Amino acid sequence: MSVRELKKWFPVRTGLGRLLAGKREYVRAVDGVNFEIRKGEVFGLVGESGCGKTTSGRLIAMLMAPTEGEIYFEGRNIASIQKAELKELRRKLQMVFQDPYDYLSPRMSVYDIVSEPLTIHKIVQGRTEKEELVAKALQSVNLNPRENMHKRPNELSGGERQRVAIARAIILQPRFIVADEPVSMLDVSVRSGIMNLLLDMKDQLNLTYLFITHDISAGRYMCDRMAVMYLALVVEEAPTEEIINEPLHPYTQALIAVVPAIDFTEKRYLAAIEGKVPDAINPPPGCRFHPRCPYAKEICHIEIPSLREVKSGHYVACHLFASK
Amino acid sequence: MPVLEVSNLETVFATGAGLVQAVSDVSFTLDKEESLGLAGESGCGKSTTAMSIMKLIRPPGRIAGGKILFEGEDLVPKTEAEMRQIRGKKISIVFQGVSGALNPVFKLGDQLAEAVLNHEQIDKDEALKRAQGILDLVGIDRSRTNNYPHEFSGGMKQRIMIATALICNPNVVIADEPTTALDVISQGQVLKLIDDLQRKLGLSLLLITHDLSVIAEVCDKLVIMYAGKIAEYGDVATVLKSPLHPYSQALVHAFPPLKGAKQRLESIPGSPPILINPPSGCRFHPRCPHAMDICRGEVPRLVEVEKGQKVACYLHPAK
Repeated sequence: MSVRELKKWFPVRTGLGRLLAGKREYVRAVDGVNFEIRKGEVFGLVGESGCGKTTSGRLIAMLMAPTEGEIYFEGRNIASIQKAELKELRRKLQMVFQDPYDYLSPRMSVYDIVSEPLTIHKIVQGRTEKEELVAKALQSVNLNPRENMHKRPNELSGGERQRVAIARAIILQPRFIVADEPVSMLDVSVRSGIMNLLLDMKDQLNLTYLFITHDISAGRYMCDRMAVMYLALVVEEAPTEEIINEPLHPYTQALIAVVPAIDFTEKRYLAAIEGKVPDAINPPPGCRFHPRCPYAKEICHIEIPSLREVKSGHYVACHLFASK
Repeated sequence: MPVLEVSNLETVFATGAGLVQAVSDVSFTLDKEESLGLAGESGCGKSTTAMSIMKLIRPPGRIAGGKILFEGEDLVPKTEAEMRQIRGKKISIVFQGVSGALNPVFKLGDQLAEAVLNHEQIDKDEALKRAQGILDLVGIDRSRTNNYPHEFSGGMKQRIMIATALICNPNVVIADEPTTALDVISQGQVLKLIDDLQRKLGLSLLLITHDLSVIAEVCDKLVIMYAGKIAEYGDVATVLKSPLHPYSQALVHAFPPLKGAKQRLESIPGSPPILINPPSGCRFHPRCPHAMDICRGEVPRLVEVEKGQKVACYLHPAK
């Protein structure tokens, strides 16, 4: 999977007068994002809410069309794919969403939910065959098929619901899964179970993940490499341990410094960066982080820094660092 | 003398399906200028405990037993009129949902002033001055008293909620998940503010959260609740460094660390129980890897196991 100059702008509703005057405004949710995800890895997109990570995930899962840019999946540009091919593509590309209370239909049984993709894609015909595949999928997410197949979502706990959602995502044997905050709505005691399940399934089923999260410690647990987004752009990308231990971009440094720590090596005084994320309709000129950056120089106000490789595999978009 | 002493609190909700024992035999104390964290997963009774202290439990819920001593006086028998003198003035609460707690059609200054005017006989100009002073304290420009709530970001609204809670100089502040709805960066800012203010004003703080790391940063003492009961209670450093209750251990290890070696996380099987028919004996026993026969039959009492550490678990007998 690789993404080039991906953009998604949402038009803002304005008055007729401004429309006639030709002043259309856009929320730049994703504004020129590039990255590559290698086969078999977990690639993380990390950032605050509103930074564009979910929109990027939805674009990659082809749930919406990009405004500009290319998305290559197994060598094909799926951004300009025809509708007929889209269905074929969805077999390989699945998504797991954030809120398992919200997106499982309360009227459908677990069997209906998990088997629906088989019906849509006309994979198997008979009920027995379908039941077998559903049972297998439920088993692989550690749910007892016989006990759970005929339950409805309201009879399941949050963790179980998310397992059902994962079963539905894997039943078509996809190659790639976009997981958008799959654990953030769950109770802490069941979170680690779902994360372990996702990691185990990746190895068993040869999957590749895009893991979207605002929680950098969950990102560290799951991901091989991570990209940090700020205001619709990637500001840093590196192998996970490198980003955690040697963050280069001032925003990444702040993001890691403010994560409260449970270990008692020292009672740190919480570091905090000031201000808030600017408006995505009129982003600041130059580097989008400069109004909050303690190291901002003159050039940061004027020129947008490009993402440059400063160490092998470590990319950063910041004027403080020269390319390798 | 502790500022707040909760003993054997029982709060129940009568539902069509039966009586929900949301809080069951909960006891703890909050000393002056101390900060106590109340931790646990959703549904463990931590917010219900806070609402019970404020006497904001509405039918079908009620406080079924126990005492809530505030400065030596029991709040449980107090009437609504008497509670109004205490709420906001002596004990105040910062709620989780920041957007629902501010009235969208009133200016910020008026809302803050209203909180003072409810309790003190002063004129409005003076109340507005107090509002400006309190905004300085939480780091919001005092000129913004003329703004409406929608003109503030989530982090700023949470600061305003803190300002509202502090404006009458309360003795006890309860903060219910004050940072859960915020981004990591705003969370850092708000936590730092709470920590600073608690020291500066000598507040007694009861902080309720599911996130142990937040408690680690801010609190002196910690109560871990599971299924309406206290599992472990003690000094933050002691409990988080060497948790004794199997549930506390699981909770501490459920957060992937940001530093140190990367290890596979242990997960707890199952999910928290429904409190209409809580499990017999220790409520954690169906999920506990160390469960013994006695855990199924008898309810463990909260006993002091180490200095500054109380645990309700048969694995750890009293010292």
